[in-house]
Amino acid sequence: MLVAVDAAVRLVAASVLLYSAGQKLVAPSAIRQTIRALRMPAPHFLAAAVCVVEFAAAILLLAAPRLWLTAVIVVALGLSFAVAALIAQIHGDSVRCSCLGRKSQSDLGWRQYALLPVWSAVGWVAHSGTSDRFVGPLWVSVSAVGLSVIIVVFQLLPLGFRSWSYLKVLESQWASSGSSSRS
Amino acid sequence: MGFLWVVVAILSIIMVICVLALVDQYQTLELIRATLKLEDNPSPIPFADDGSIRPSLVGLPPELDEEPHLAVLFLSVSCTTCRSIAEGLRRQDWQYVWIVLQQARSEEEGRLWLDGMKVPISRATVDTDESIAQAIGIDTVPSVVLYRSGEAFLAQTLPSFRQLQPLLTPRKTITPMPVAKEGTIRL
Repeated sequence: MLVAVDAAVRLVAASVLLYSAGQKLVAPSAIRQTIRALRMPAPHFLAAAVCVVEFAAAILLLAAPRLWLTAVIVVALGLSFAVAALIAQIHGDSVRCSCLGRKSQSDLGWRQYALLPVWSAVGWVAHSGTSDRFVGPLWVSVSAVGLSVIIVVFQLLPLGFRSWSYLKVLESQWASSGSSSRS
Repeated sequence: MGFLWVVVAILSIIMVICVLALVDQYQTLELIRATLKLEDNPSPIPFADDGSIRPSLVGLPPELDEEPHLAVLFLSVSCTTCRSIAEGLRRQDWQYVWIVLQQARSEEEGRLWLDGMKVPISRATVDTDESIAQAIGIDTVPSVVLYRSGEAFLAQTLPSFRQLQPLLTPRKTITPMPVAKEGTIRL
C-alpha cells in the first residue's frame, strides 16, 4: 500500500512538473512576464532556470527519488513559488501566476502558500520511500507518455476539431465564391 | 538495457514537449482568429415576441403560421456567405425552411438567383422592397428567424452554414451564442 502511495505521489507530482516545465519551454513569454511583474532581474535567465529545475525535479522524482537532491529540489521549487507569491503581496501587485503556461489565469497568492506543505510532503514521500519498485527511467517514460495522452485527449483534439470545422467553413465559402465567379 | 530506457525516457519527454508545442500553435491560431474577428459565431438579433411578426402578418404565406418548426432565412443575391448557405441547403430537407431573398433589383433577378442555387421557388419569397425584412426588424444578411407554430422564438445572424445546420430540425434547436457579427453584411 505504501509503495502504491509513494509511486502515485511521485507520478502525479512528476507529471505536473513535466507539464509545467513543458509549457514554460514552448511558451516562455508568460513566465517571463510574471518574473518582470515581480520586478526581478534577468527574466530570460530566471525563466529558463525555473524550466530546467522543474524538468530536473520531474525526472529525479521518478528516476532517483531517494536522493537528498531530489527532495531538496522539490521543496526548493515549492518554496520559490511561495516566495514569488510573497513578493507579489509585498509589492501589492496582482501578478498572474503562469504556473501551468499562458492559459493559467490565477494570480500568485494563497494557492502558492497552500502548496508549500504539499511540495514538502512530496519531497518527504520521495525521500523516505524504501522500495525500488516504480523507480527508474521506465517510469519517466510512463509518466511522459501518460501525460501526452491526456494532453492529446483533453487539449489537442478539441482544438484540432475546432480548427478543422473552421477550415471546413472557409472551404465551403471559397468553393462558393469560386462557383460564383465562374457563373 | 538501462541505457535504452534512458533513451526512451528522453524521447518520451521530447514527445510531451512536441505535443505541448502543437497545442500552443493551435491556441495561437485561435487567438489570431479571435483578434482578427474571423470566428463564425452568430450574434442574436432583437425581435418582437408579442406575436406581431407571425409569417402571415409580415407578408409571408399564411400557411407558414401552421408549421410546427420553421426557419425563415434572409439571404442576399450579393453576399458570398449567403451563396454558400444556399448551396449547403441543397442536401437538406426543405420542409422546415423558407427563404426570403433580399437585394434583388427585380422579381426576375431573384428567381434567377434562386434557380442558380437550386432553391425551390415554392419555398422562397423575393423581397424586392424589403418589406418583410423591415416588418420583422432584420437589417443583416445572412440571418435566420425561427418560428414554432407561427410564434418567433429565435433570431440571429448566420455567419456560415455550419451555424444553420442545428437549427433546421425541431429536435436540434439551440439557443444562439451572443458574440461577433463576422461573416454578415449590413443591408
